[in-house]
Amino acid sequence: MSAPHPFGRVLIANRGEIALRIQRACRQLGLETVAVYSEADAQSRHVLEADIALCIGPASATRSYLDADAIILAAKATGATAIHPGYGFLSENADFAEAIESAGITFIGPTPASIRLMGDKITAKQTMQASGVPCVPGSDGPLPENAQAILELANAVGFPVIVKASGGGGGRGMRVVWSADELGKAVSVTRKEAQQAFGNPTLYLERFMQKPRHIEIQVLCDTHGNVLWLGARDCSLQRRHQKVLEEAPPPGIAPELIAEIGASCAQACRTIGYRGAGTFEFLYEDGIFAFIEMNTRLQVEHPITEETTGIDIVCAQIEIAQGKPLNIEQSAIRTTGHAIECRINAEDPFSFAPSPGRVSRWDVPGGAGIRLDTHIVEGSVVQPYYDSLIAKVIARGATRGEAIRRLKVALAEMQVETISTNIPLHQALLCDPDFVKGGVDIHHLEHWLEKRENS
Amino acid sequence: MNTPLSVPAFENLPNSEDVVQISQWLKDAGLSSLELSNAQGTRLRISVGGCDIPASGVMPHAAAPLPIPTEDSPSTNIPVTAAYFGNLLLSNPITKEAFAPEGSSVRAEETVAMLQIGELTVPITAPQSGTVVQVMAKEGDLIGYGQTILTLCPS
Repeated sequence: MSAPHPFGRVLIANRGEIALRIQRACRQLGLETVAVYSEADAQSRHVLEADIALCIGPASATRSYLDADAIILAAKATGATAIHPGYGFLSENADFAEAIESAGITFIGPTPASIRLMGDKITAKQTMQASGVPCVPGSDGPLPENAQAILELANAVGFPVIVKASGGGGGRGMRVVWSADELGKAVSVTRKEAQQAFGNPTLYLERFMQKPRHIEIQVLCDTHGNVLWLGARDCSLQRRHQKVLEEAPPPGIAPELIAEIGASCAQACRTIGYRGAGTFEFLYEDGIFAFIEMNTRLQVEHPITEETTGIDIVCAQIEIAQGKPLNIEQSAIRTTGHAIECRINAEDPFSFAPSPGRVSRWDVPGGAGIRLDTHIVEGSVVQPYYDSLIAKVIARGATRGEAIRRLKVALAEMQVETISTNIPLHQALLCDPDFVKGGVDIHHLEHWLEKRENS
Repeated sequence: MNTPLSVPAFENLPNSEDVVQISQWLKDAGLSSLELSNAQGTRLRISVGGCDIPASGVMPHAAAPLPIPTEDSPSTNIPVTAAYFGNLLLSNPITKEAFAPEGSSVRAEETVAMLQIGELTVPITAPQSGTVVQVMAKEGDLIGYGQTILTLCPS
């Protein structure tokens, strides 16, 4: 493993709002930036503003933002000595991180070993259990071949259970089984799918939690043994496993309970020697936390943690990669107030069909407690080739109620033409009595959308 | 550092069996073509049959005149763009001879420049035969994917 060393020029291996977010952090730390981009993004804001910009391929992500070899060669050609992967694309690719380090370049992220360990859902869960992080009751390892043995396992865990592919993720390769007589068929079908989709037929099973919330803990670890957890986020409002709106802290969960979970996450980080920023994702139901997975990267929703803790997570990531110690202790971390983030997507607010095209009007919100993370300016073209996220509107308030009020005003101020956005969806959600009460489960949005369709 | 690790001195052209073997290696490696040249000016090019590469033999031969330029067709110059990125080499790193200076004639598929990234060099080839009108970039420039290197007046 290469020792962290000081660097002066950072290559940003990403696009869109997060590329600009990372560029800002680099500038604040006095570092030069290299933007590598696809032909489609030539006019993108972070490309125009970069110290060095290099087009590395055509619009197709496989030949640009996902081309690991090209990105490493681009770092050499531009003299970049560190690479920040952002989120998505290659950010959780252990081989990419390893190739960067073997090339003598600093990877701004965890060690390849940590990425690999957490990328396999079975080893991840076993590691967490060993570190005292609460997990969903389950098979605690790969499912056996023998049908009777699987049935005994499922009975011990208790129905309903969910059968999952060890190499899966993002909602794919999983199946809920409600009773013993459905089990055999569900296992064989999922095994076949897992083999086809992930090239790995290994399965495991867990108790299926019926109405859980999605709660996650942000961590930050330096290379001097300092480990911090930065409070929790509630990301229960999801559609097809994609987060839509996130808030911090999670409403209605006792801070003492969150502190207990946070401390166990910090302990797990010490156990595995974690480096950089990461997120532990949990399902939460009836006072019980159950670990699902760890994301070994920066997350889209990191700003709500920044707004409630006052810590710049991206700057911290970079400084950790430079080998600097975190200059704050756990006891000094306080979360104050409440923050909510709305992900603004270029999509139809009803059908969710992507809505790429030129942005002819872009009036942005402002005022106390409002933050806008975006790469869009008037005249920008939203490309059809990539994710439809165009902006994140983040509101902070002394209370949750104040954050919601500020967010409502901000969304009303935001005028976007001629592409469609999901702003009307967020506006409707902020008026939903269940959301206003707080603490909805991960199925709430899907049910809410069904009801909207039927009315 | 600019000298490649080893340049095979191929006085004799490989026999047909060797060519078949080399083509198979290229295909297996996902490469479309291989080109070697030595200081004496001997050039060997092997292309694996692909949809956009005219199937050619061992020796470069006159390219099939795809668009037939006639006297009355408007003389529009075509850009030659970079299919990768890197630092521009306008001359052969071994012979120091310029690949395609302004006013020179080039044949289709002929190397008109190279891109260098570390130890890797990638050729930029002429899409068709013609005369070089203008070289748009300087030696050593960092060139991005799709950037125009020079313009060609098709012959």
